[in-house]
Order: sequence, then C-alpha cells, then structure tokens
Amino acid sequence: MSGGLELRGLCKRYGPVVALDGLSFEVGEGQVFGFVGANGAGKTTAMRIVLGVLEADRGEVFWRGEPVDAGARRRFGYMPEERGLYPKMRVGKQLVYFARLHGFSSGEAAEGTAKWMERLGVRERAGDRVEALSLGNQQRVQLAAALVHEPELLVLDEPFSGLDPVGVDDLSGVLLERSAEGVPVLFSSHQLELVERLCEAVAILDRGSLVAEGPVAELRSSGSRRLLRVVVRDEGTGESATEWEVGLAGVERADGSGGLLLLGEGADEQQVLDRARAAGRVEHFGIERRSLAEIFREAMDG
Amino acid sequence: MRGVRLIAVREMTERLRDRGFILLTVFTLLLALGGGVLGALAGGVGPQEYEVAVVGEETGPLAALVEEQAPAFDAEVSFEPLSDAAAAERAVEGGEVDAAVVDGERILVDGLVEGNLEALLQSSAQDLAAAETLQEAGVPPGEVEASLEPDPLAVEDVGAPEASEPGASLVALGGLVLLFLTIYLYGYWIANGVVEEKSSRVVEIVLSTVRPWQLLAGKIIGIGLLGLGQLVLLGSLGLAAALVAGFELPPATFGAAGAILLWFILGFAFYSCLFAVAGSLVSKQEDVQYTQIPLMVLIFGGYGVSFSQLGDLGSVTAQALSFVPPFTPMLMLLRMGFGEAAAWEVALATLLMILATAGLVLLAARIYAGSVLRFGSRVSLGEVWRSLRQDRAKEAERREE
Ligand SMILES: Nc1ncnc2c1ncn2[C@@H]1O[C@H](COP(=O)(O)OP(=O)(O)OP(=O)(O)O)[C@@H](O)[C@H]1O
Ligand SMILES: [Mg+2]
Repeated sequence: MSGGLELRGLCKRYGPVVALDGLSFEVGEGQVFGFVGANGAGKTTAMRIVLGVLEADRGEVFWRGEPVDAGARRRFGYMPEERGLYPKMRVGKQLVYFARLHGFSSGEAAEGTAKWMERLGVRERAGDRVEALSLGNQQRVQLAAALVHEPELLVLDEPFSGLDPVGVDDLSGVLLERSAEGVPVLFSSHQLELVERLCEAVAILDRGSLVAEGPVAELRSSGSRRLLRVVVRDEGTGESATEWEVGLAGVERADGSGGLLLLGEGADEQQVLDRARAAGRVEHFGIERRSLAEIFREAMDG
Repeated sequence: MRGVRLIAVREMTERLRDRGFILLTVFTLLLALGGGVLGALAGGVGPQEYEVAVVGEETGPLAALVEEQAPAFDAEVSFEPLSDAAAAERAVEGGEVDAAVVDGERILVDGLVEGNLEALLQSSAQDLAAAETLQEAGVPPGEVEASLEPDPLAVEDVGAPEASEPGASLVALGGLVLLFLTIYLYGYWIANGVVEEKSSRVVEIVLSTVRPWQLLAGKIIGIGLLGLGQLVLLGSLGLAAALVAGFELPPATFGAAGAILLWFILGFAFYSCLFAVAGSLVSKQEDVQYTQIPLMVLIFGGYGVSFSQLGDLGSVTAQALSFVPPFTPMLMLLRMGFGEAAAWEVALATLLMILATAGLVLLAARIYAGSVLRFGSRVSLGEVWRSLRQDRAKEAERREE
C-alpha cells in the first residue's frame, strides 16, 4: 500500500492494562477516516504511537509504504487530546515556532502563520498571549498549530469536542478541504453523526482491537443482518397490516407495528414484496440503512 | 540539532521578554552594583581621617613626622594646637579629637582608638627618638634617614608553584556563594520550565516533533546560556563598580572568574538534569517544591561540605570529595582558589564531571520521557523506574523475535 498511513499489528501494554492488542488499519490518500470506540478503547494510545510520542511494544506504522521515521513525522500535523499551548507566548510567535519545529524556514513559517490565522479567524489576536484568548479561540489556534506547516497527514484526537456548531462547521470545512488536496485525515470522535457525515471510512475500536472497519457506506448497508422497512395498509380496515410475513424464510419482525423486518440468511426481498402486496396496499418498502450509532452498538455487543 | 537550537532560542527569548525575569535581573544588577560600591566604601577606601591635639613646643617635630608617615598607615591626620594638658584632656574626653600628644611625651586617648592612629603615633615617636640619638652620636643628617629606613627584606615564595596569589582565596569564597546561588536559581527555572510545559500540556505537541533528549538539551542550553550571561553581566558590573569606587582588585580576580565560569557551566549542566527530572514528575507548578527537595539537600549539602573543609582544603577528605560529581564544582572552585588543587586534579575533576553529566543526561532523558506525558497525580521515581525496566524487557523480547 503506497499512498497513506498504515498501522500494522500495534500492541501496547501499560503494566497489566492492555491498551492496544494487534491493531491494524489503513488510511488512504485523501481519505477522511473516523476513529471511534468507547472510552479507554485505545484511540489516543494508537495516535500517540503514530506520532512517535509513545513507542509501541510491538507492531509498526508505515507512511507511504515505508516505516515512519522522525523526518516523515515532522511532516505530520497533530492535535493531541490534551490540548495545550504555551500560555504566556504570543499567538503569532507560537505558531511560527511550531512551524519551525516542523522544519519550516522562518520565512515559510511566517507565511504559514499568517495564512492559517486568517483562515481560522484569529488574525487580530496574533499579538495576544494565548492565555488571554477564549477557549474557542484557543482551540482555533491549536488547530492552526496542527496545520501551519502544511502537513502531509493530519492526526486529530477528538478535534470537535468543545466546539460550538459554527466551530464544528469551520473545522469540518477545513478537514474536507485538506483531504481534497490529498491529505489523509485521521480523527477520533464520540460524535457519531458527525463521523458518519464527514468520513469515507471508519474503524471501530474495542479494548485495543478492531471490531469493524471499512467504508461508511458499506458498513451501513451490509452487515450480517439487513433491515427492511415495509408498511402495508389493510384496505379493508384501513389499519397497518401485521403478521402477513409469518412463514417467510429468514424474516423476523424487529418491532411491533413500525414495519421493521430483520432479514437473515436465505431471505429474499422479492418474496417479501410479493407477500406484502398480497396483504394490502404497500405504502413503503425500502432497505433501512443502519446508522453508525447502531453499527457501533452492534459491534460492541457482538 | 536544529530542534535543540530552536528550543534553546525560544527559552531565551521568551524569558528575556518576561516581566518577572527582567525585574529580577535589574534588581540583582542593582544589588551587585550597590554591593560593589558599598563593599569598596566599607573596605576603607581612602585613608582614615583623624584629628589630634598637640600641646607644647616639643611636639612640633613629632607632628611633622606623623604627617610624613601617615600614608603608610592608611591615615590622614590633622592637628589642633592646644594651650595645655588639661585642655587636651577635655578635648579627648569630649570626643572633639581622637587623641592628644602632650609635650612629645604622653599620648592621651579615650579608651581604644579605632584603626592605626596609636601605632602611627608610637612609630613616629620611636623614629624621632632614634633619629635624635643617631644625630647626637654624630651620624651625618643625610644618613640618619637612610639608617632609619633600611631596604626591606626580600620575600621569596617557597610554596608549591600553583600556590594561590594573594586575594584569590577571597574571590574564591565569593565565587562559592555566587556558584551556589546561581546553580540553585537557574536549576529551579529548569524545573519550572519543565512543569510549565507539562501543566499546559503543550509538551505533547513539542514531543511530536523532537525527541525528549532534544527538548531537554535545548531547555538546559537556553536557560544555561541565559544564566551564564546574567552571571557575566553581574560579575563584570560588580567588579566595575568596585574599580570605579577605587577598590583595588587582587590580581587573581580574573583567574578566579574563569574558574567560576568553568564550574558554573559544569555544575549547572549536572544539576539541571536533576532539576528537569524533578520537574517532569509533577503536573502542577506548586508541586515542584516537593520533588526538588532532594536536590536542595544535595546543593545545600555541597555548600555546607565545602565550608566545612575550608580550614583544611589540603586534607584527604577535601581532596576525595572534590572528585565526587555533586560536590566537585563548589569544592574544586575553593581548592583552586586557595591554591590547593594541582593542574592534573583540575583536569581529572573536569573530565569526571563531564562524564557524569553525559551519563546523567541520558538517564534524565529516559526518566523525563517516561514521566513527562503522565498527567495527573505526581509520578514516583520508583514507578518510572519500573516502567523503564518493563520497556527494556519488552525491547529485548522484540529483539528476540
Ligand atoms: N500512561 C498510562 N498509564 C497507564 N494506563 C494508561 C496510560 N495511558 C492510557 N492508559 C490506559 O490505556 C487504555 C487506552 O487508553 P486511551 O487513552 O488510548 O483510550 P481512548 O480510546 O483514547 O479513550 P477516550 O475515548 O476516553 O479518550 C485505557 O485503559 C487507559 O486507562
Ligand atoms: Mg482518547
């Protein structure tokens, strides 16, 4: 695999606690990739290993087909879960400093700083100390610190937490724009609707290993069980018809009268449709896409 | 190396812009300036002035001789002729004059006279009497003076060749205090700087671009250079102030200043690693004061040990201790100042100090890396040690595969 980031068999223990247990997945070029999992699942640990802040006990991280080294990592952009900037340093100076730590010359650093302060709406605050900024603006500066050196990969640990709706939109815009330029974006989040909306692919992590992974569209429409919503009106009584599906192979009613059917092994949608038409007027017939939240819960249960 | 330089420069520029730092610097500079001037004044710059009452004709030649000899006694004497002994007694008692000479025979004083006045008067009287005797014995007037002031005996220094120059020991003592204060002060800044990064959590971003040892080295170099600059500024201003005030510097001053700089650099490098570890173990600024206690004990201990050996810097104990890294900077500075350290000893101690510091940097960087990302409660050294050993074991395991 060439274009992006690959985690291969990462293991990490903290004493008796197993934080990562053979975690592997790939983030392709220009892909927005969501990283979800319950508290303590190991997301932050995995990201820290990607950035080299932590060392894995076993396993490796590859970037564009090569094991990552310090040089490659300097071209990554990172927003840690534990937010933090130098509280007494001026915003502009601070961004220039981070750009330079990432290998930019002072000229490039000044340019990048100006560009991202403008883009994220904190340009007027360049001369202020970070501690004098509101929390939301501090978060914007934090994001600028991850972007100021035009990184080739973005790794953001819960970037949306603490943002107001406008902030969420701004950040979403930036992430999509970066990915459109070919930058893979890996971010973790507990806001599943957001992940669903933004991400092409997700990885669901549970206690250090993957329970589901793949393109969001595939995850939502496939899976071991499909859901079909069929609403049939009994033309005689005018009420919703029920129990017309009894006897169909592999079909089970998932709720009382909502019309949600669970299709298992060997079920045939065409047969279901025929039976429904025989029972009355079919007002609704469609595959129900599961939400990411449902996939998540299902993966956790399984 | 680029990362180290960037970090060092940030440490310096941000501190130079910090109001607290500027105030502290200006304050200490004023202190040094004032100290230099005050020290020079209190050190009796310029001759001590005395007023002496004289009674009787016979006192005339004596007064002339006193005036002539006064500079040798670091004194300046003015005379007040009085009519009789009773008046002189009243003047002495009333404190209007420091002493009185009556008829060239008696000196009247009120208790002890401060300084050299009495010696000056006595010496002049003796010389006068001797001159009179010589003259009476027929010695020509031209030779009287010569016989009273024979050439002084030649002084030969038979001590070891590196024996201290006069005054060097005094400078070394001052240097010891300065070394002790600066190492502790700048070391504390290191600890504070480390906690500041940890408590603000910014350390994680920094560590995603550089290795822990680079961050550590940059911080130590940046703050160390700042401390060095401040030390040089402070020292030269103090010396300049003393010079301007007319204080004569012992010729050994510059050698001693060099020694102070050498031991500041080596001592600071050594202790700053320990201070960095102390800082990395806590997450809140106010907790540093606990983890730095062992260091305080070590530095105060080194200071105390150095002073305790002051009486006998040539002893085996002093010699042995001066090769034990935590004590080396302060003890070696003293032994050099007092001329008790041979060149090979200085070289060996310097080498040992460099080796110890290099080892300490590596160890400190590991501990620092292991603790600096652990936010929350205070991390115990034992805990860090255990996890370091675990990492070792895992590494070995991985290598076997
Ligand atoms: N420094 C540490 N020492 C000991 N255990 C740790 C340490 N850091 C993380 N852990 C443990 O490792 C596991 C994974 O933690 P991690 O922070 O990676 O989870 P996460 O998925 O990011 O969780 P969250 O959604 O709450 O941020 C947890 O059980 C955590 O308690
Ligand atoms: Mg986390």
